[in-house]
Amino acid sequence: MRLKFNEESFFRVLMFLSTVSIATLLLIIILSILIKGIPSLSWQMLTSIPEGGFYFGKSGGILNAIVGSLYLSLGAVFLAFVAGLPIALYMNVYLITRPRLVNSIRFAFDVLWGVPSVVYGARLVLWSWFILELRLHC
Amino acid sequence: MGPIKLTKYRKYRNLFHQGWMVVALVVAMTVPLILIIGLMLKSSLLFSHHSFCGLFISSEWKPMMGKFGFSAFIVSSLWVTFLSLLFSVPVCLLTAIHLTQYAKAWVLRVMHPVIDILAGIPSVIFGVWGILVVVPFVADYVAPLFGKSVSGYSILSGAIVLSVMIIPFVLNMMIDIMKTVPLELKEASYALGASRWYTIKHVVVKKVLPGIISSSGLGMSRAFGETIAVLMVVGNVVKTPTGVFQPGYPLPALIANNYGEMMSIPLYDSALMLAALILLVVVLFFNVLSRWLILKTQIN
Repeated sequence: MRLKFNEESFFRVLMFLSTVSIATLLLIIILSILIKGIPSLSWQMLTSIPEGGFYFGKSGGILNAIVGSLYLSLGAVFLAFVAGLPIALYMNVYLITRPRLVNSIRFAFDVLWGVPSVVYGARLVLWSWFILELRLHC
Repeated sequence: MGPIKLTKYRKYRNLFHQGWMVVALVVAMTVPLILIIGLMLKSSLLFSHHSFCGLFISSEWKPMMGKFGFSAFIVSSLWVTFLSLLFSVPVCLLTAIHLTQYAKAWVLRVMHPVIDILAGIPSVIFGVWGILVVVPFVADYVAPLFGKSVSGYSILSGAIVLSVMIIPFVLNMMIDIMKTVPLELKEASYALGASRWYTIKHVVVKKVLPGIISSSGLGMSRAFGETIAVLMVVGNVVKTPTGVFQPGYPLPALIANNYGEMMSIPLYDSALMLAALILLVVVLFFNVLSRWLILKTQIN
């Protein structure tokens, strides 16, 4: 009986520590990025594009990267919306009477959700290359 | 439901929207299929030049001389993935038990946003954090403990960064699964005189064991395919690693680092496609297995 009590308190300490450590990890990540990043934060950095010698600490900013990221994500969200919304509607409105089919489609999407992005990337680079070739030859 | 009179226009609009939905669904389902077939076709070229054993057992990687040995990359991937699971699964399991069985409600309320924010951090931020914090930590504190002096860009750094990345992912699933254990089951155990810890050990964990295994499996496939964060801290040296302090070169990093420069050499292209195919097959295999296990436990 005494042994069991000890085992429980041992694991309770471990469990408490692991919970705290996860919260601490988030804090460490945010803090370390902030400490390194805050000194470089200025209006000039956010509103201008890189100039000569930017990577050696001279003037310029990262506006191009910010705008590029925005365009990229807006485009991606738009495309995902165009494809995703009708699929969700179709599964919930038309296929609702066939739960087996809905379940297998959801299973397939769950599995595909885990495909590493680099695999998609590898193929898509090839496709865009292919399209480019076609355009060059035609 | 009474008969609805559709005007001609409404009928066509309905048909159009339904058609659009079906097309979207079919496209979404076939893209991965095309992906697999395309990868197979592309990598078949390599198999016509090299034997299966030659590709997977040899660790000689000299694309310019037509030597493609994947063993160094596969071994690196396995090391990184296995170590990251070793770090993260116990932490996740302990935290999940703590949050669902012991902790007060407000702790879970605080931890949920913490987990969600951690899950939402882009992987490249984890990579930067790895370079800023983990790599110096490994070089200055961990390696000297074992009497080694290294740069810090190593399998161990990659595994630490990876484990931090998959903790929110695995933890979320474990918490959800542990919440599904019916209260009656625990009450029955208490009624038989079992202590709280005994109940957790022999009733709760036993009940959700398939769920724990499958969430670890999903975490594993996540770790196996993670690219940029690992690439930034793992060192990228083509050599079969023999210890955790040595640099490695996992499969995703191989694809990400070399894509684009090999378009002119068909065999090189084919080799990278084979790397992508290995990744895809391994990840799909573990995903199907884990999802199937989860479905089975949910039905039970």
